[in-house]
Amino acid sequence: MSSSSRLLTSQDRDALAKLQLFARGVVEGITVGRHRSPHKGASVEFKEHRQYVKGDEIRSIDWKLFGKTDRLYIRQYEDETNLRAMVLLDQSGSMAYSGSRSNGMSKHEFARRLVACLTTLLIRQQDAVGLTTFDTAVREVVPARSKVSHLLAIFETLVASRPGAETALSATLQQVAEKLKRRGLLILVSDCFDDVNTLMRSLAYFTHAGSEVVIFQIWDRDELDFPFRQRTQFRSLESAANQRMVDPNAIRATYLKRVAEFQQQLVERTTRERIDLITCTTDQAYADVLSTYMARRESIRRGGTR
Amino acid sequence: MSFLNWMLLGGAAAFTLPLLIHLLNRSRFQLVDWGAMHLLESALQANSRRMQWQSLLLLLLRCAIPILLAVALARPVLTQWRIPGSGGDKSIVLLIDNSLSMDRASTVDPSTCFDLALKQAAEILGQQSATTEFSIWTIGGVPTDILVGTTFDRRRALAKLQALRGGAGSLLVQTALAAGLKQSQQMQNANREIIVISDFQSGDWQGFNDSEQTAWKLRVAAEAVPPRVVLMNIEPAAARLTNLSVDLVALETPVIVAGQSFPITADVRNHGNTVVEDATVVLQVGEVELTSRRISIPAMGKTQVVFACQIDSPGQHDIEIHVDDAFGVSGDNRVYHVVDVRNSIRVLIIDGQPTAPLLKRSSGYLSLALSPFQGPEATKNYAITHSIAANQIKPQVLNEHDVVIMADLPRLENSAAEAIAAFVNQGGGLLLFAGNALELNWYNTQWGATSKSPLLPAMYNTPPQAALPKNTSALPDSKIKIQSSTIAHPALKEFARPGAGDLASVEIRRVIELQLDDASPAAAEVNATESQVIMRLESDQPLLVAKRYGEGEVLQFAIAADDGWSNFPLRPAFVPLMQGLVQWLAAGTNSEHNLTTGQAVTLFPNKGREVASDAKPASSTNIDVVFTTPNGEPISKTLPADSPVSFDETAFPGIYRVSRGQGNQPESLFAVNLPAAESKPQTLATSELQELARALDATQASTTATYFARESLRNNGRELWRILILALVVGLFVELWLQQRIARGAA
Repeated sequence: MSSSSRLLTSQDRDALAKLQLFARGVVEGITVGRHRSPHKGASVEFKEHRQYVKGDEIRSIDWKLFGKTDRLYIRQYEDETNLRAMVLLDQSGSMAYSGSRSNGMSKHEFARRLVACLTTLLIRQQDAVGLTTFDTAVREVVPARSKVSHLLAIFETLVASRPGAETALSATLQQVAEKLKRRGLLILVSDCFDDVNTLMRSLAYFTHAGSEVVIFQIWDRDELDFPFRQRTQFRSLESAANQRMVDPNAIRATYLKRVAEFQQQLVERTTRERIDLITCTTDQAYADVLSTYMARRESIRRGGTR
Repeated sequence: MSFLNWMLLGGAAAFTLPLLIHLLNRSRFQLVDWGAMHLLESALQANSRRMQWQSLLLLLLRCAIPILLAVALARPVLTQWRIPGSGGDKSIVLLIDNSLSMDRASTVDPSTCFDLALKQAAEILGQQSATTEFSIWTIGGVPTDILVGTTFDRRRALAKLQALRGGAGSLLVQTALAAGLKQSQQMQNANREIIVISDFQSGDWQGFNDSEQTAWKLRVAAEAVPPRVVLMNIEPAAARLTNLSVDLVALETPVIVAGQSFPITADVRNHGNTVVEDATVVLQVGEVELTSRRISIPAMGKTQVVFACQIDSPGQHDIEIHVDDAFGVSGDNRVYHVVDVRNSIRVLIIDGQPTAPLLKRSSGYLSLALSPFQGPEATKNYAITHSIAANQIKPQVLNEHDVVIMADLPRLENSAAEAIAAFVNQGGGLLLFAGNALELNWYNTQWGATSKSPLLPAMYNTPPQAALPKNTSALPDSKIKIQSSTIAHPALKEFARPGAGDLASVEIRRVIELQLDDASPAAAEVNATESQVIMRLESDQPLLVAKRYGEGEVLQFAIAADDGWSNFPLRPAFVPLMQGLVQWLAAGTNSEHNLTTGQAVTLFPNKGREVASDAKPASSTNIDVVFTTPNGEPISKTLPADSPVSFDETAFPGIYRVSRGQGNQPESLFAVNLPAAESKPQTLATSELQELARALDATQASTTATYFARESLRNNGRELWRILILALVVGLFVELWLQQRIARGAA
């Protein structure tokens, strides 16, 4: 149990229990019938035959085939490695936004639950999962383990996570990159409200190192369609001094255009960097988001050589 | 500026509503803690400034809309244009141009300009109130009062208007305007207006020059209640391809003798821009077509046609020359001329030496020269000569003759002298020759410039030295010749060319000095204006002097008509020269039978050669004169017997007939022609018309709609509510558009 679990209040513990229950429900719901059962233990999957060359292990020769063909072939198997996944949860101020149509759920809360589901899913697939929370800097790090009991540590960290400070995505990613020695899967859960170019450059470290990167970009519905009508004072969640009095009607079109541009840029850059971008809004069901993710993973796994 | 419903102006206070809503909106706002601040800020940066002024504009518009509505409902009226007191009952003088040029097709309507003018006049009449007084004049040729006075009866005025016809002579602008002004001053209502409806043909209106315009303005200003002047121009269609006109009839011979051929010349003009081939020109005398000619006329040019005409019966005859013109204006295709055909010229020679042998007296040479044919050929003579002695002179005898020649008469009885003066005054011709017997002082006293009846064109110079025989200035040593180059008289134009008519061979030995400068300055003035030197000697002395006296003319020679003073009577030139002079004198007042439209016809009741001497009516009786216009309308006038009969209703071209008394008097004819300028299609350009309107302080309108709009403006001032409502609607649209634009945040 990590040190942070001691900081959890009784309410947090309730939340943790709920989170665990919630995540298990979601994950079991979506994995039924879709995957080989994770409880049967790891099996070795045949990949192809190869002609025997000198130096190959004798035990890997397919004697049955030798009997049939009178030639020596080697049986090759898929490399069954344990996936090491690191989930990066953005807990910057902007993640605290909770719109009118998200049932009081902030983006951060949404992200937190999403991470709970994701980690549960990954651990159940025997993968090692770690968690890093950050805002201007890295706040908490739970190293990657594949034990089921490790989930508790992750959940405790999640529950203790509070949104607040400004975002410094790129800087944080560099710190993480130093810590993440082995290649693996990097899952970034954030609203990505940062300069796209810098962000992509930081993420490029990971992709170049052979890691796979998935971004869950969290939007609130309000941020996408700007539904405000009357004069509004917008106060920044990241620094209270930044306030703007705006006539939303006057600015809506330009704002929406900017959002579209931002999103367009993000999509283009992620495609170029071979990064998976999964955009979700806080009013979406987690199952849908996870299904999307898994479908992507599936297609990557089939197309990949791992 | 005034308001019809000024109380509604209070509604303008409603402009505070949008302002209040705006201010309220500003103070009420919601607070949102926002994450995507960087997106919001970049959006704000893009259009914050434009947003500000658009919002401000929107606010102003919203404030302006209730103000505009309130002001429009209050019905503001701009009264600057209104003329004080002009709202009262009106008196309108309509001057309608019915000159020939108005018969052209108009651009506005398929009908002619004149029809359009009538239509506009009818519209103007129709729109007036029952208290409006009208007067309608046609101003082509002679201004004519159609209603004869004024009327308040619109129906009557409209009926008269429908009966009007065009094709009259040229418009005399000054006369027409003066008639309109005079009429307007006699009208009852103080709000007076003169409306001129015309095509503003250049030929007519350019004659109305600056000084006349100024004079007109001064006249209008001098009136107690100056009328307004409105110029309504009717636009004619572009010039037709062809319009032919006939003008300028010229007769080569001053006297037309029955049965003898005479040339008559007419100019046929083509005002179009294409050549006209095969136009038929017809000469007609009375109702009889005499001859015709086929001609071609160049574009914008003219062709002269000379007809040989012969009329066998004496008396007045009307000649008409017309050209076929299927396309142009028809009114100018004919020209009229009235000629006086005589049997022959009756010449009375009063001889000072009736007893001398034929070739020893002046009258002998003269009668031979004037009636050269003898015996059966005598009918070919232009003149019939009678010779009488001085004591036989009586008014009756004189009146039977056209020309009287006095040759070498010493003196006359006073009664005879008066009879001759009266004869000339009534249109007779007098030819005076000098001679040895002449008593110069008697002539100077009886007929000189200072006398009661100054017949003499020049005084005989009485020589200072009594030594000279018979008061004549002798030129014993030199034989003086005639200056043929200075002859400038129409009767003698055959002799005007140097070397022609062998005047050069004439040698003059003796001459009486003719003095045009008299001692009396008053007489000199009369002489200088009325006398004309026709022939001169090479010594620059006058040889032949002419003077008009009353209706007649006097020619005075400085030499005698026999061979004693010169060899002139013996030269061949003597015959044609005498015949020419006698023809000239006999022609008398022939030209007054041929007039242009608008000119007045004047007839003298006692005119000697026209009224038989025994039929002269007593001066106490009035004469009934009936004028018949070309379209057969009789106009009767009763005038005193002893004063001239004048008739000025000659607006339309054609032959006018005059019969006097109970119709037992011979008819006399008058030909009235259009001025040649009337056929020219040019009208004033728009700028010229504007300048004219400015010069006359007049307003200009080309349609009745313009006229009525201006009238309404003048009477009521300009109502502004339409403009304001329009502005309001525009404002609403702009507000809507601006709001949409702000909502879209269009980049």
